[in-house]
Amino acid sequence: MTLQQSRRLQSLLLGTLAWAIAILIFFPIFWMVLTSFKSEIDAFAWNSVVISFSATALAMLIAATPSVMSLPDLARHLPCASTAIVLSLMESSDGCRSMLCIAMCSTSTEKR
Amino acid sequence: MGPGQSCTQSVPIAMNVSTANVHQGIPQPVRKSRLSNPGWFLVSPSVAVLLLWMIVPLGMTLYFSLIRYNLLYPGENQFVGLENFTYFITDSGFLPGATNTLLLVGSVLLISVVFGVLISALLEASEFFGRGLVRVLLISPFFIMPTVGALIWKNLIFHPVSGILAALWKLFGAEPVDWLAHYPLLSIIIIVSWQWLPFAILILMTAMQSLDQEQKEAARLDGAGPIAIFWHLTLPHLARPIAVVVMIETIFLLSVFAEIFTTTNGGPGYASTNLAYLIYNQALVQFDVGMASAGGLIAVVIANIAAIILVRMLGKNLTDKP
Repeated sequence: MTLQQSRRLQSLLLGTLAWAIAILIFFPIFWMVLTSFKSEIDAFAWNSVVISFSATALAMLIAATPSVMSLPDLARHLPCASTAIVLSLMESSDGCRSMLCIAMCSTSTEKR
Repeated sequence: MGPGQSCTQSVPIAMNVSTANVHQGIPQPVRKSRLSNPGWFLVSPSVAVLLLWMIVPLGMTLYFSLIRYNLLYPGENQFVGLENFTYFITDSGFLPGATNTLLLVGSVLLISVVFGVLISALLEASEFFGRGLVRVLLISPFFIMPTVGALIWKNLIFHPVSGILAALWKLFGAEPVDWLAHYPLLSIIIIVSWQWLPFAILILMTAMQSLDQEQKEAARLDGAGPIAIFWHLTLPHLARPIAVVVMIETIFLLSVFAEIFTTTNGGPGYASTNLAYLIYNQALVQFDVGMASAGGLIAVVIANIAAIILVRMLGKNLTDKP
């Protein structure tokens, strides 16, 4: 490993750690913003996170299967997938949530 | 709290004035009277207003603390001497309140300084993607109002049914913990640390940017590792900003109230009551203004003791150039 490579690796590791801490500290505010979009009953339901993340993962799987499964291909969907997660966390009903994720991920593959 | 602050602020000013007099006083044979200086006359209105601003509330508190003054018994305001003070100190809430205040201030200071130094060192350690955004995210809790922050933690995170920690506990098959009922002081320490850690990060991060890069480079050329550089170069450089953080945070942490009021109401029992909450309890729950005033004066004395200790211990860091 050359000096530049090791420096890049160090920057990557420290950056990841710093991002993790920042997200951890910011998380309560993020969660407050998300909860502000929910109805009172949904605010008590934690499973929105489980559903939106798993639905997005499923949708990415469905969308990426026809093409060759490769890491860069999945990485191309990541911006779209994260938008889908955030949007679906704000949604209220569960069915709507997973539909939204699948729709967004499939449109992003079609455009390609 | 007012006299404590004015005490810490007036010390450096007084020192400056006295040294200035020593330097200027010697060569002048005829000393002009201070009263003949027109500046004295021009400044006097603002000094008088500030003095009144401080002395009137303090005098009223002193007066209320010496009489019997309960809002439930109007008209019975006879002089009772130091009875309010003895009742306040022998009150069953005083000892837990004082211990909780010390525990809260001490642990929040420790957490915010230690993690503040580590996180700001991490941010300055290397260039990485989105460092500006990370800085904003880290500082953001400081802009949340104390009441709002406490409500977020109470309803969205610590809540045994809808909280995130409860969901996390359930995910691993454990019984959800009712944080605010079983660990009230720990919960409040976590909430207050979350609010004050960004302040420490902000101050220490800006201080770390002023560290001389050439010294760092010289140390690296001499073969110092990152830990040695941190311990022998960065940490001594941070001594002064750490002193600032400790002093400012102590002043504000001694009067933490909103977090306790919105989350635990001082309970269960006196488990999360601090002195500020105890005084509120005396004045506006039990309507005993006299005893609350006595408690307020005791809190002023405690704050002044803390201020004097801090100025003695850390103030030298601020005035003397090492």
